[in-house]
Amino acid sequence: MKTKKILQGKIISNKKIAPDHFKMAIQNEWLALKARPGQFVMIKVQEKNNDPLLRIPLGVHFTEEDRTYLLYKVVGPGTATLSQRQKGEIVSILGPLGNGFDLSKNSPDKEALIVAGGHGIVPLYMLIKELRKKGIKVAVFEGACSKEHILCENRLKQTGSKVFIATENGTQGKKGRVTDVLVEYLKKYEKNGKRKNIGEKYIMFVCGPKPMIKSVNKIAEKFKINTQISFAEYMACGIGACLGCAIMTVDGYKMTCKDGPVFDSKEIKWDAQ
Amino acid sequence: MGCAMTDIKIKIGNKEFKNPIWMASGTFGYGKEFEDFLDIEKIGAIITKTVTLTAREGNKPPRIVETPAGLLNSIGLENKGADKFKEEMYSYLKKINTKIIISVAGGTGKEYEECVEKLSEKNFPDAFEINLSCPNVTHEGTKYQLIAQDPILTEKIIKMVKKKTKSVVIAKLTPNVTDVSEIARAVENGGADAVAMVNTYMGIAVCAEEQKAVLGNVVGGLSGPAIKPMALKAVRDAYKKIKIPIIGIGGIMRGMDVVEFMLCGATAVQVGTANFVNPDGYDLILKEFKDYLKRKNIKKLSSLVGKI
Repeated sequence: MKTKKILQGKIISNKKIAPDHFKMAIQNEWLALKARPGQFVMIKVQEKNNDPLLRIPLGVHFTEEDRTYLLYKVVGPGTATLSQRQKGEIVSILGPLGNGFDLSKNSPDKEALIVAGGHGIVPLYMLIKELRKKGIKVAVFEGACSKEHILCENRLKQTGSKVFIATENGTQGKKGRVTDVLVEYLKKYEKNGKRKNIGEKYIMFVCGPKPMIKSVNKIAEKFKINTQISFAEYMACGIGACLGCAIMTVDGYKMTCKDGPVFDSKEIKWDAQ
Repeated sequence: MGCAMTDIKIKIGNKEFKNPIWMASGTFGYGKEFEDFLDIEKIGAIITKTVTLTAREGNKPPRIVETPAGLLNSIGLENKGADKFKEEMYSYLKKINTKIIISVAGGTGKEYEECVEKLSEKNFPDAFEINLSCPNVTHEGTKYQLIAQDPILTEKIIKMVKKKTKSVVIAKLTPNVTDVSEIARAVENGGADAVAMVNTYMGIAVCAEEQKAVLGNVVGGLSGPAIKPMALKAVRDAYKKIKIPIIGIGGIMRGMDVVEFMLCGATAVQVGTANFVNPDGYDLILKEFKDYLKRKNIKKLSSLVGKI
């Protein structure tokens, strides 16, 4: 039985917001209604010919009324083509796809630590909004190479979250890695002699480049913090058919599109990453 | 509709297929993944993701990358093995009202034989597609990287599996050979009912920035529109040398691509990479194909086959 349709969305805006970064608003009521934090869409960047060929996976940034916002970095021909699409044009969308972040296990008195590297903030922003709506305290750790690449800082602050910035060249926030700032934050707490139950105080949500994810996982292990990570792997279909987006877990390969893109850090086989 | 429609049913071996546009192995899961998007019973035949005798974990990621108008993959035949496949999928597959073709592969001839034997039941599956050409796994008993590069072993394996099943046997060939028609002849001699071609073209994608191969396996198989002209040539080359039907594969995105393969000698075709782009795209391909037949007033499909 046909139950899912490929959606048509109207581009409301598609603007450059930082070097190589674009924010796109798409109008489609069903998508905006259904998309949960951490889910993604497979979007067709053009219809004219066969190159670029595949849909590209993009994390849902947030939704508002009948609009779904996508924030993407131009990294190849697919995203470059998408960045050229104009307001008023129609795009074909498959989604929302994937599992999204799991908030069911979270007790409301835990503070949520959000760790984002580069455009890793994309799926986390919607989560932050949801956490804040539930009255959960949020501390955001955002890292990028330089000041211009720090995304959505003001919007993050408007959610009432604490925001900590790190840039590799030191043009904003602390000079260095976002994980340095995160460790500093956790150690402050540790100083009060409460290291033992630090894991009971926090829950962590992560998205960013692989090296960052790996070091965040080490921190999660050290401080015993329950951590959920959104992974970005190469994908062809987005619906579990091509088996292209495999990720090694403790139970063998799983598919990022169907079993993820969000995984509990304990599910991942880290020495295979 | 008023006017008579062209009969698009085709026959291969002793089986009749409702139409000549099928779904290629490895691009349609086991059918289930696509049920949400289209009426899968409209499809001429569904070829499952390849099954091997024992489970295969698949290759190290990244397994997939887009290249100009193409898709390079090194999945590595990830599957749960013949027993699990039978246990989990048979009751589902048997209920689907279209032809089901199970793709099988192995490291050795014996594995092909055992796999086919294990999966053969009285009236199921309708056909086996013998995948002799997966570029992403290694094989024993041949100096060649792929079984379908070795005409002698290819013929031997087809003969072996033919003895083990009453189902139709289709051999899937690699284009990574000097002369694909030689292998197609070997398949015909082995007693195959049809030949499916082509599997992917072997290739490499390189990241200059990081100075390394993109795929975890370094080498992958290229599919999609990028390979269509080469696939059309392979089909035509084989058509000139063999009498068994050819099932054309390689970059079919639209109805007109189906026609092109038929003109080069294909009796049927398989849609592959397009399924990833448009999981609901089958209806349009079939419609465009029918529209062409009507527009050109083609009464019999066979009048198209091998016309050029």
